[in-house]
Amino acid sequence: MTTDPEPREETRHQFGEDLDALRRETIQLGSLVLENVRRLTEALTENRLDVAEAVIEADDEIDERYEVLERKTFRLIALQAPVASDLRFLVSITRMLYEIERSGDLAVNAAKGLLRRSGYELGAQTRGILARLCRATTDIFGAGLVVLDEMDAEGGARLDSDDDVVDDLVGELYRMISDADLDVDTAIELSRAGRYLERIADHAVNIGDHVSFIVTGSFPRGKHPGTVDED
Amino acid sequence: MIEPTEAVEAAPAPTAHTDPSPAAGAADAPAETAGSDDTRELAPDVDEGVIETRGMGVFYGDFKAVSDVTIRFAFNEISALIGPSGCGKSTVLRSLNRMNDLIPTARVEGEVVYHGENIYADDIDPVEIRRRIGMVFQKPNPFPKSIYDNIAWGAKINGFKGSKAAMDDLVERALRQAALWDEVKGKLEESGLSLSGGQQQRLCIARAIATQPDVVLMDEPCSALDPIATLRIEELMLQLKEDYSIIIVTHNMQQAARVSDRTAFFNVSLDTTGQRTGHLVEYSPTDTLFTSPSEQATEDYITGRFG
Repeated sequence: MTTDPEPREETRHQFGEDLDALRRETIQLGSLVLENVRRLTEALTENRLDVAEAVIEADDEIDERYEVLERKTFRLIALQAPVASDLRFLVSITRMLYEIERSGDLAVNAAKGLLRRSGYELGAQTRGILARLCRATTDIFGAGLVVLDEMDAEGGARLDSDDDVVDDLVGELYRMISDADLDVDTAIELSRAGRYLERIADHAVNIGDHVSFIVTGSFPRGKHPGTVDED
Repeated sequence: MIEPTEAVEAAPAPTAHTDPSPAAGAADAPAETAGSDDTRELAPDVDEGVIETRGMGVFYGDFKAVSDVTIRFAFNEISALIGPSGCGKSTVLRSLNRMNDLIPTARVEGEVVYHGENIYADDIDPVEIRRRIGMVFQKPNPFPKSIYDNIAWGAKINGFKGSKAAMDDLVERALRQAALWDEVKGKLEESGLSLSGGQQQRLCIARAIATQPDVVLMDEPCSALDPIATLRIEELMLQLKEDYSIIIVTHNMQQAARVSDRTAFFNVSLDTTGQRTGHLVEYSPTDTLFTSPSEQATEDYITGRFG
């Protein structure tokens, strides 16, 4: 009986483009961090101190870009008076930028630990678990960026269960550390590295939750990402 | 103090409405005229409205301006009506106090229930309805009289028969409530038209509340005002809702977001003959509507992505 009015014309074109650009740049920032998590994997599993140095060096650009993007976000909130999904997007972007930047810092922490010990003397089994943990963390962080790229609410909500793999591997790493005959300093640094990798994966889960919130207006599992424990 | 006139005594106090008449009780039943499969538009958490429409349609001659509006406005809240041009929001507003009677071809179907009574029933006096449901218009329209008389006249026409001192009190109280007293107390005999636009609008608000209504309708009350005068009116509205229920039509979505408790979004649809008719799309608490609207049409409108 009734139909839509005449075909609607898109307005606020520039604002829409600004939001798209902000999302792309956030994903680019995430890609830099992802690249650094990959480097960290190489450094940890192959005792590459030069690569660990590269992780630390690459973080400066991440910090700079983070600041620029945060300022852009505040500017859009202040000048465009966003509402509804635009508002959810911009507020969530500030949170996601934090999750990404913080993940970069955690990678740096893990790289510094390796440098402090000038590499880890590990048995094949422990090294194998560490490699699997690094890979699982890299995978989930990459998946978080894909969710953001595709604005995939369901994929975002699924990351939490994917994170169980990471948690299990961290548990296994801790057991290996306590069973293996490691010197105390190495044991401490390696435990920390496991903790940092676990936290990076948690930040990826939060990114997924934020994407769900932007799309649906509520957080998956009724859980606000701010309720997880701190790094 | 104001000497209560008979008319004033007859009017229920704004906040003392505790025992709904049988007609108001019936409002709790789903409105069968709503035409949709639920009664969400009524705002489920508004148990008892000061005023509500049931399946209301408004015609100008053969033209159906608004179709099937079922909505309930709460006591002591500010309710905002928003939507694109031609969506019928001003038509709905004017139907709430029979302002549309003044347009010869206008016709209202369905019901507008105020304190349990259909205001379009045969035995209802539209003048009394307009006294109890006041209106403030887009353009400030003071009488070409003194500031004092702008308030006093409305009260006199509506049956005020108190002493001069009582009238002085009434004028002062209305001007104080409208946050205008301090600016005009030394010049009450000057013309209302000598005031600034923002002051004139507050004078019109004072005039509207001087007759002791319990609902104040505002039809884009700030669209002719500068931003500071606009903010003062908004601040005033927040004070006034302690004593009155306010329903405002605004083109300014940020204004709706800033001042209102609930927001109703109206949109236009085309029927097969190409006739444009307004309808109610969504009626939600304002914070919900502006953060997570439930209808895509609302989202498109408030984000301004489609015009």
